[in-house]
This record gives sequence, structure tokens and C-alpha cells, in this order.
Amino acid sequence: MSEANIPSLLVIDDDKDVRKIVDLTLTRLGGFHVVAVEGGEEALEVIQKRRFEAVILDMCMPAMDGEMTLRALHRLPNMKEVPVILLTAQASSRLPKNLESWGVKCILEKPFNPLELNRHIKEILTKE
Amino acid sequence: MERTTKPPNEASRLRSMERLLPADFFPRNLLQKTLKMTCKLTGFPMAAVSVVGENKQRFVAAIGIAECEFERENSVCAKAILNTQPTLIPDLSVDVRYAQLTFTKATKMKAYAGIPLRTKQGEAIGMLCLLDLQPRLLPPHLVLALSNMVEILMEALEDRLYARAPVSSTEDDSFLLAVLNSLTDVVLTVDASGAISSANHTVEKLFGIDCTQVIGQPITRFLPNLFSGGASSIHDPYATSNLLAILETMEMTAKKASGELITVDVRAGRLLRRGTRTFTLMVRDASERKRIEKMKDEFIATISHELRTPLTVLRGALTLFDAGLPEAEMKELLGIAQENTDRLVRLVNDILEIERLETGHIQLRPKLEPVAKLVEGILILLRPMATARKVKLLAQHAIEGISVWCDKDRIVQTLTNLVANAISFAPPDSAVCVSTALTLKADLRFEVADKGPGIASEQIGKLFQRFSQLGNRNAKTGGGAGLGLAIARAIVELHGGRIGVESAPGEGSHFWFELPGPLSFA
Repeated sequence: MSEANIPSLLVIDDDKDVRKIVDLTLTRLGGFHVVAVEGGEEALEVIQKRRFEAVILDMCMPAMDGEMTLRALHRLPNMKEVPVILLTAQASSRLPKNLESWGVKCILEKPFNPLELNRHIKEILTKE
Repeated sequence: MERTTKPPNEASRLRSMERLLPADFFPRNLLQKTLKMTCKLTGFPMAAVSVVGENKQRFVAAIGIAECEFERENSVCAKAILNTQPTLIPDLSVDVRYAQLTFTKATKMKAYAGIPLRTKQGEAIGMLCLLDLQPRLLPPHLVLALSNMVEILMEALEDRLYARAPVSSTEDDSFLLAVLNSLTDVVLTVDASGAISSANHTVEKLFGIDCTQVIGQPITRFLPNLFSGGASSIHDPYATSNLLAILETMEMTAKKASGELITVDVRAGRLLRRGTRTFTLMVRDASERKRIEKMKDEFIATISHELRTPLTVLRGALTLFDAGLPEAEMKELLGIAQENTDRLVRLVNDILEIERLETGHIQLRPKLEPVAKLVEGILILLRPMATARKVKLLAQHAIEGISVWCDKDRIVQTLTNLVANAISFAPPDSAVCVSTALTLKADLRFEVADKGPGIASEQIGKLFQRFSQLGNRNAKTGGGAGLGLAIARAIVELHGGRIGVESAPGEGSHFWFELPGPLSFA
């Protein structure tokens, strides 16, 4: 894969350590390009400037939480087709309904296996 | 010898004796204390509570004399219960009525002063008697005092029976009604047609309607889903399976007289009386239960979230250790793993700590502690953290040389928590000030002031609850899980003190707590 063909991923998680782990997992183990931000506002800023092949989003965040971020992202024209992987530290029963219509392809419960995260992203990107 | 006759109410007298002095619930302490007080008051060396049974008279509690028994016809007390007044004999041995009794001869007792132990119904179950080997007479003012004391003793004997079995007097309808009306649950009876046939007073509080006005109304007016088997089932409530079901507690919607809907727990029972089947309902406002359940759910959800986050980091780090990363990244990863292990340990400790504090399983070890020294110790401990964030730490004491009665370790823990929070939120080049002063109530007030972002008023109320961390603190401060202030509150309240905060967005925060002391001034 040439440099230009490496998929770029956007990671949104408020916990700096989780961000670092996901970043390392995706870059070192998965070979992706990663931009990691700590909240919905920053995500909206970077996403207007460039295209991402997938978004990895934490559901439970202060201020702008995962659901709000998801809605805001989905409104952007260049985000309509971008797949989203949700990371959640809560029971899936507490998740909002109709996540699929917002582009959510996969939900991973924390603590997830980093290799699983990579595998899911690769599968999703291959299908796309 | 004059024969002892029996009082006219002998049968009920014996029943009362059994009831007030039951062998399995014997008021030994009460009787002993009364006797002790009696001797002290009168100067008599011996006193006894004597009961007169069918055949025997017995001292069931005694001071200065053995707990012994005599044949009824040979007992002074058995004669004395026949008198309506206290029996006062200065010298038994010279009184023809008593001189020949076995009691008098065997004990060589001279003085006897007895007050009958009389129930409200006038039954004398025995005597409170004072005895002396020397002849003497109990003066009238002490007779009066003792009579009053016996009256109080008899009331106490009655009262303790209520404490033992509150609904023991089943024959007393008004008592039962009072019991029903004192309940915080609504108790209703419903007849076979589904109409309310009786209700306790609590119905007014729960349904907003007087208990006399509900009589005759269909129960479904207040509990619309009670017979959700269909309209016909209302006429024969016992036929529906739903009724069988609510023999267990069932949560349902109730409709108040005002039309307002509330959630209630309903429990039902059946009663067959004079050939008619009645149905009893206990209805309880479920809002408090629901509130506690919701709190518990939230607590578990938050704990689960707080545990999962560091576990995610640890699991990720362990996987990445195997990925052949450059040394610098491995080192960083190791640091992160260590920090998150600490975070997990802290969290587990905090959860256990708040549980112990809130269930009262922590005992304080208070001493008089010099306040200035205590504060200085904390500032020394936290100075490296403050320096790293370019925050200055100051201490101010309105009164020098003051000491406060407290558990030092716990108050250090509380103050450390407040100061560390303040440092985390203080902007660089600002100061965090710890001050102490006396309040108007002469409590000792600790204050921790910072120039941080401040707290919005709607969040202040939640601040000292478990897991109330506002906004994104973890990422920036590496701090706790939001239990610190809840622990601080529990500690201060265990000291009998108060904790609070004054703050507004953009104006910094003043966290404070007050300890009631005692205080000492050097």
C-alpha cells in the first residue's frame, strides 16, 4: 500500500490514555493513519478539513457526548457514507436506538481487544 | 388465727399478674431499680416486690432479703393485698393479725410497709414492701412518694408489653384502628363487587381524598389496572388470575383524586368473614423505592464505566507490548499502564471507603490536633504538585495556636482532597489559599479557595454525591473517579460537621468545611 492509499481514521475519546492506546493499536498494529481528538467539537473541526475513511467514537464523553457527536457528524455532507465504530463502557441496553442509520457499523464494549478493533476496521473498510 | 380470704376479682387478678410479669419477659431490671430507689428514699434496709399467686406468695425481686416464698395463708402480703390503702405495721411481732404467721416467725421481721401493686382495673397483683428487723413506721410523706412510684411502675409494666407486642390487644377495636391509621401504607378492604368497604387515614395522603369519602367507590377509580383481566372481572374479583398474581407485591399506576398518576406497590390478601369474601389491599407509594433503584442503577453504571476505562488501557497496553514497538514508545506505554493500574486500585479503594463511611463502619480516632501544623503538613505534601502546575500554595489562620478535636488522618485526607482539586483547577501563576477561622457558632471553618473556572449553580447540588465528577476531569488531572468529594462529605459529617462550596463560573471556588470541635486555644 502506497502512502497515499493508507486509510485515515479519526479517533474521538475523552480519556487521554485510551486515546493513546487506540492510536498506537491502529498505527502500529493496523498500519493506519490516525488523528485522535478528545471531544466532539474538535472532531467537527478536523473533519471539515479532510476526509476520513472511518470514525472510532467513544459514547460516554462529557459536554458533547457520543450521541450528540454522532448526530452532528451525520449532518455533514462528507460524513454520510463514513462508517463509525462505537466504543462504549456501558451496557448496550443504554445505547440509543437506530444507530445503524447513523452509519454505525460496529459496537465494541470496553475493555475491548485491540486486535479485534483492527480486525473490525479492516473488515468494514474492505466491504466499503 | 385470722384466715386470709381472697379478693373478689381473684381470677382476673391472677391473669393480670401473669400478663404483667410473664416468666419469659420478666422485668427484672425495672423491679430491681425500683427497689434500690425505694431503699435509698426511705432508709429501709430491705425491700421486695411480692406477688400473691393462687396458693403461694413469692418475692420475685428483693434487696437485702432472699427471693423466697410462703404459703398464701402464712403471708403478710397476701393479707395486705386485701386492703385498699397501704399497709403500715411498725412491729409485726406485737400485732395479733400478723404475729403468728410463718413469715413473721421465720424471718423475725419487725417493720412492714407495703404499697399494693394495683392495675388500672383495681386488681392488686402483689405488694411493693419495705422490711426492717427493727420496729419502725414509714412517715406519711414517704408513703405518698412510694404510692406515686408504684403507680409509675405499674404504668411502666403495661407500657413494656406494648413495646413487646404492639397488636396484642386484639379485642380492642379502637386500638387496632389506631394501629391501622398510624401506618404509612394505605390499607383498604374491597368487597366482592369491587367497592371499597374500608380505608385507613393514610388514603388521604396517598390518594388525596378523605377516608370516609372513598367508602363505596369502585377500587378501579384509584387503581385502574387492578383487574386488568377485563370489565367483567371487576364483579368477581376472585375469579381473575390477576388477583392471584397480586398476592405478590405488584407495581402499578394509581390515580389520585386530582387525576394525577403515581406509581404504587400493591399487595393483596383475602379474608373470609361471616361468609362474605373480602379482599385486603396494602398500597404503598413506590416513588422512594424507584428513586433508590435508579440511584443504584446509576451507581453501577458509573462504576462499570469507571472500571472499564482503565481496563481498556491495560488490556491495550498488554497487547501492544508484544508488537515490537520502539523503546521510547514501550516506555511511555509502561508508564500509562502503571498509571492506570494505580487508577484502578484507587477506584476500588474509594468504592470500599465510601461504602464503609456511609454504612458507619469506620470509627473515628479523634484527638486535639494543632490546626496550623495539620495544614502545613498538607501543603508540604502537595507542594510538588503545585509547583509542577505553577500554582502557589498559601495558608492563613485567623487565630493562632488553635487546636481542634478531630481524627487527624481523616481530616488530612479531606483537606488534601480539596487542596489537590483546587490545584488541578487553578490556572498557572495563580494561588490556592487554605485558611481557617471561627464561625459565629464557634465551629472551626477550613476554607480552600482557588481561581479556577468555577462551578455552575445547577452542578453544585450534585457535587458531593458519588461519581459526580463534573466535565472532563480525568483526562486533564489524572484524578480520581468522582468519589473524592463524597468521601470528604462523609468524613466531615462523621465529625458532626458540614461541608459546602461557594462558586460561580469564572469566579473560582471556595470549598469549605466546618468542624464543631471541641476547640482549644494555646
